[in-house]
Amino acid sequence: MTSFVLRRLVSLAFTLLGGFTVLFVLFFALPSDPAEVIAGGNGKNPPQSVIDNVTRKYHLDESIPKQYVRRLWETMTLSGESFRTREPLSDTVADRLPNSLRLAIWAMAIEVTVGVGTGVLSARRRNSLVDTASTLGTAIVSAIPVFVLAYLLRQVTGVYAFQHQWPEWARLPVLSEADRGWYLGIIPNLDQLEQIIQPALVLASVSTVVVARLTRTTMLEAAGSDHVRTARAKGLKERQVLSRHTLRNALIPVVTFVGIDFGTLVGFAILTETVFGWPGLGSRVARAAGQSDLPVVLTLSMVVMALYGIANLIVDVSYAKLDPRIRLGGAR
Amino acid sequence: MAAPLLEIGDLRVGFRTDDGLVQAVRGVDLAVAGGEVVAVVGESGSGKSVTALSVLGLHPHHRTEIGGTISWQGEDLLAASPERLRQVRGGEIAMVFQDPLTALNPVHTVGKQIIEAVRAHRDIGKAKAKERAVEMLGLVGIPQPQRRVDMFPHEFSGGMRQRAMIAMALSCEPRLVIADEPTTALDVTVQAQVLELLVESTHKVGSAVLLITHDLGVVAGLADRVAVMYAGRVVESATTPELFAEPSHPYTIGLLDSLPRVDTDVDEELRPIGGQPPSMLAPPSGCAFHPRCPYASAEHGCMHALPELDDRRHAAACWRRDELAGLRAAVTT
Repeated sequence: MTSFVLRRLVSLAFTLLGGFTVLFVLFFALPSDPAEVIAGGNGKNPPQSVIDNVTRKYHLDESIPKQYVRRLWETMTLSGESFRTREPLSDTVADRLPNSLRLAIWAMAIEVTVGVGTGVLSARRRNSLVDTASTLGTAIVSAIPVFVLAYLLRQVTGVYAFQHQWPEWARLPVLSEADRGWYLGIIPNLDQLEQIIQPALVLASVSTVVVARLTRTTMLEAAGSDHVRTARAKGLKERQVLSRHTLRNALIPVVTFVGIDFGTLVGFAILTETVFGWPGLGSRVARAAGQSDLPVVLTLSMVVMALYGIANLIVDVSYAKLDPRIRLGGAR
Repeated sequence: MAAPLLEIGDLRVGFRTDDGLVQAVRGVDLAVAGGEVVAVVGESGSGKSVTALSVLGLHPHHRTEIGGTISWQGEDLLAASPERLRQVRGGEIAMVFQDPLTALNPVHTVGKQIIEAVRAHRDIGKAKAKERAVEMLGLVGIPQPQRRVDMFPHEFSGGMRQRAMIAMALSCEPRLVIADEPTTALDVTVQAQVLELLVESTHKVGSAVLLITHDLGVVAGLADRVAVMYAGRVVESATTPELFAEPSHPYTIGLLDSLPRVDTDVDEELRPIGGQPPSMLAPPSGCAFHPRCPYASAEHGCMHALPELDDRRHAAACWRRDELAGLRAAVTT
């Protein structure tokens, strides 16, 4: 098990290096001149002196391999700074990562409780009104683009609710900045809850739908398996049959999905972050990419990739715990 | 025969499907007395497993139609409350299923699954229940039961898994064990072993056995009585020696003729039963066996009237029962 984790961490390091290289190469493969973009924007013809200045200052005149080593070192030690804002990237990560994690954890909490709950309910009451309603509901939610859902929610709770004197709890201010000082890093106070609930809901929406459908399918499959009949035949209570022999088995693929999805929630929350002004990693990377801000793109992308890799590793390890038939890479 | 433990009367089971009602069981009478080993023999689709599952109400409710009576020590199980049925399951009547690989839950240890069964019926702690699990694994001949109890089903061989299933079934000392083709999924080499073990260990615990099988050969040495099923009905019922000595239904005769025997010439050909078992969506009129029966004749009513199981001690359901011995001799010579 330890050797499995070590091997996976080594291979993760190589994956990160590969990802880094691809991003680095893509940056220089772009048709626009990075120095020009940084100096004032593509097509705006900034003065040549400024461009030269930028080129020198950001070492863009060095040979590509030399720049590669420089950026790699910078990224690994978190010692770079933004081309644009000159903000040290260690600060950017320290600022943005907790916000991204908070949002992802809350979205995951919604995804698991609502998704699994709905899935179990519609599997238990198959073809009932509940099942039909959840099938329809999940179809609708998954058909609405995330940004539409986000704007809709914001409009209703942030604007309409205030205009029409809805009760206090239904009125959620349109915020811009998440407060610091969360209890234990992730537990919000009431104000912070008001801020996180909407982006978390929106971010969780697609995943929740997937989890609900997946849970329904795996529950139905597990419920029809022979060992559930055995469990019933030996006189277990329905509750035990459900929890120990149906849900327990049905959750194995769900755990895999949720774990891998966590990486996505951290790194690809761009739309949600943008609409709600949530200062996370995704929106910052997106902005930096548009500005040819290479250090920001590289460093933050690597943070997201590392999180993704670690989430995957945790999934694999817990998978072996959940399903004893799986052995970790022959180790044991 | 003592007062029966289990008495199934005119059991009818149908499954609603998109194609119509599949009449899996069409009026089965069957009784098992305390300590007795009764075998139900028939080919796939004859309704023998459906009959077995009906006793414990293990069919999916929403598409099953069930009629008749299932009387357990005088109590009607078809009318029992869910809680009462739960007590009977595993506590008074236990089941051993066909494929121990799928019948055991892969994510729990074998021990945990036995402990669960014990604690469903006895008010004892986990430690005590585990002792019981180890004891039961030892009883069914699993070596190093203290170690094996913490292993997962996939770490057991097929034969050992089925032994574990038997251990689980016997853990609460049920009055009756229903074994539904307990050896069909096993290697031929361990089939006999496991069957012997089943009968032996149930005997130790004092349970009766209802053994469901498609293999008449299996029955010979183990069962006290045999019921032969065809197309959802019992067509012959007798003590094992009587059945083998004087098979009284053409289907039973067919089954016996298709078995190799040690006491006859090796050159003698095995005669398979021709034709296919009928569709239970639309069973044939008259005797369900008539399309495959070499002795079927219209003048005896085989094609249009359903023969009932007669009430002799050696019961059979055939219009030409009393002529069979003569007819058979005429055919073979």
